[in-house]
Amino acid sequence: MSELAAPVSTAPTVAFPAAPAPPPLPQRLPVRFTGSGGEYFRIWIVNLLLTLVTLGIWSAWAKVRKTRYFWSSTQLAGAAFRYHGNPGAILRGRLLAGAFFVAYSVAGRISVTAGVVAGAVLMLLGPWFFYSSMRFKLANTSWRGLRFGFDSTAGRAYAVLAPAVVLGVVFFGSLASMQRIAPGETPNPVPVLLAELALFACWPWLHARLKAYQHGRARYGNLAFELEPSTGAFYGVYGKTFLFALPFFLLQGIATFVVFVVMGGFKDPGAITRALVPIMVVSYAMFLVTYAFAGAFFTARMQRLVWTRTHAGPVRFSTSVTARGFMRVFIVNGVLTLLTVGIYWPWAAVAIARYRLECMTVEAGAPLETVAAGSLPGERSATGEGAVDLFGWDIGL
Amino acid sequence: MAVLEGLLFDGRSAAATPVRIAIAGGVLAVTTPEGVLLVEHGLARLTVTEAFAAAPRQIGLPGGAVVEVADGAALTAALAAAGRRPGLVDRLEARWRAALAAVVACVGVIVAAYVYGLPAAARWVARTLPASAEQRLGDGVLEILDANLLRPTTLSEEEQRAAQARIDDAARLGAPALRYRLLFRAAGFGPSMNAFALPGGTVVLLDGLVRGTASDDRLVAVVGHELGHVARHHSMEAFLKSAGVGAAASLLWGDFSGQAAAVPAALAMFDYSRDAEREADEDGVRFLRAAGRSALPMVDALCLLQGVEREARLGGLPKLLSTHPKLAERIEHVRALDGVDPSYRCPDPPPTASPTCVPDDDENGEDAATGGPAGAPRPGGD
Repeated sequence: MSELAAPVSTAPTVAFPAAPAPPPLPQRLPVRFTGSGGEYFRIWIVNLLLTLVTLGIWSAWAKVRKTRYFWSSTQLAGAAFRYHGNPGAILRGRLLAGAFFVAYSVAGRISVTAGVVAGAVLMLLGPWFFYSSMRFKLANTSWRGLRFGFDSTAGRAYAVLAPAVVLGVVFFGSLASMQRIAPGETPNPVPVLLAELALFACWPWLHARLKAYQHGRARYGNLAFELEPSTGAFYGVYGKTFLFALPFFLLQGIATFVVFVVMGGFKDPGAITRALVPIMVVSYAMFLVTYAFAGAFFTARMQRLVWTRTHAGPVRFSTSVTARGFMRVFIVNGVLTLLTVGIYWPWAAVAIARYRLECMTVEAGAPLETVAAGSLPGERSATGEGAVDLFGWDIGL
Repeated sequence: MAVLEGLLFDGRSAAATPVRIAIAGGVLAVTTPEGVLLVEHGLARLTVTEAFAAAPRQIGLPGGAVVEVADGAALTAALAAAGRRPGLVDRLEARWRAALAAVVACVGVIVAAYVYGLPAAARWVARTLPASAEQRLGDGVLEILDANLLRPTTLSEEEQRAAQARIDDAARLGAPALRYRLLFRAAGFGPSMNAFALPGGTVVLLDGLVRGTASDDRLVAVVGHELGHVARHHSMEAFLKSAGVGAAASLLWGDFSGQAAAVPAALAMFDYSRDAEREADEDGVRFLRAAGRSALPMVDALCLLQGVEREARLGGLPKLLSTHPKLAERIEHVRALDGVDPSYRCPDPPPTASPTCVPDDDENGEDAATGGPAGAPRPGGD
């Protein structure tokens, strides 16, 4: 932003401070990420210690400080983003979400039925958690002095996510039907298989709906975001990822089989138990490998799909992330995080953020000066945010 | 007096106005590059975002406007010169030495919490919880075990009645205040020379144990030991400990998925500590004595288990259900207790440990009890 020093006309209507004359449109807005792993490591470890010694209370402040770091380190057209989340609200949200979480995990251990009921209740609360988390996140983010926002209502969230909730509840219900059988009776696998099949078949459609809602209701000031309908493209990405991952699944199957044979084979009834630990280790390692390759492929394709179809009025987005680029980041991160027993994690988080952000292109087809503050109210409740954090349902923008 | 360049955003539109800011005498002045004064405000009540190495900083002005200063370091210096120092946490976050100290302190806190804090907290909560909560938890665990690892008993009504009577008889004197419930089950697979206590006072006796000890006091000794676990809420304590580990792990590694956190928690479930086993062994001895019997069957029962463990070390379920790497140590301890014969040696193990025992093979010779897979409960009884 050093070019700001250049004397420009005093009129605040100039598109960008560096521009002496209105540039030809559309104008490319540079994206920069200035964070560093070392700096984030210091923030992370100091806040981790404070979280530990305050028995978790500080975690709300830690979240705010970490998010502020990432937001402040992200610059678009020379101006940084800013996170305004209130730690007090986040703490209240986390306590409430924590109560849900404890109820859920205890229920699962008390009895299978209680666990299934708790899972179904959680699923019913899901849309509300998602909606209020999006509101909290966006309403507490600003750029150039204007807040983002999420222009929706809880009712709308339920309408959009109703198919997901119905399928989820059906799936839980079919699981319960497997559990609730008299001793000696063989469980009927048909309902579970059908529910699973329906869930698989609908998943890309549900994901497309969710993304269209998430991106389509976002606001920057009074500028509305939009995601072009793209259900077919979602099916395409999922299909290609499945084909891409197929060799890895086969490899996993072969590895498991080999371990099983090495541990004693089929003739020995004890082999199953003996092979349990090695099979778990092999599966976990294979899962990591699959994630590094197929996950990278999926992430890159999905990012490109979503961002090339997102626009906010005259502002268009695109990203040049590639599967290969994500693979490199994921593999380096994974290996170093494992080797350092987690200490590398902050560097990994920064590397992912840097790769994602620096691959973004933002083009403005009209001066952004015309964007005015929006009329959405601020968001105080962070319960949804707390729940999303706790249950790990992070649906990154 | 420091003069810095910045951009003024009025909070009403995204338009930027280039400005200069000057800090002097505890007052921040915002002027146009030409020197026209726009805003003047006391420094003390302005909010300034944290200083990061390469990030711009924002000064919040009254009324929602902000000034963004690209050169964050220069602003930090100007603020410091005006006597405004960053907060304590900001200063800690900025220093490598503090970060390294934090690494050491984190490890220390985690180790101390695991070694001292967690057991003490679990003990306290286990003793404070109402009996009904413990009962419900025990019922839930039994439901899961019945569905996965246990089968209906093969004992006749008569055998069950005899065992129940033998134990009730001893418990009337041995543990008169304790409420318990005996259940008979067959092991789904593996030898069934075992018993375990569930939270809430349910003691599950496996068929092999009942058959193998039908005519002597070893059954009474084993139940005395299990009732010790019941009276001391050991299984509740182990459950709470595992829940605590799980909660702490997901807090620490919240950035990862919950998957990794579930593993240590599941491993800790039903894993009684060495102290807990020792206490329960002593309870078993007390129980026998109070019931007017010799304490030797406690040693005998442990010997029996040792035999089963040795024999079944590499079989199927024994990995999960046999459990005790320290049986020799426990035998030693009980033998040395007052009034038990310190010179007593374990008799040779009986030829077959239990009717449902899986034939063993000795292909690999690692200790069975070290690495049980996650998720499988390890009833730590005897």
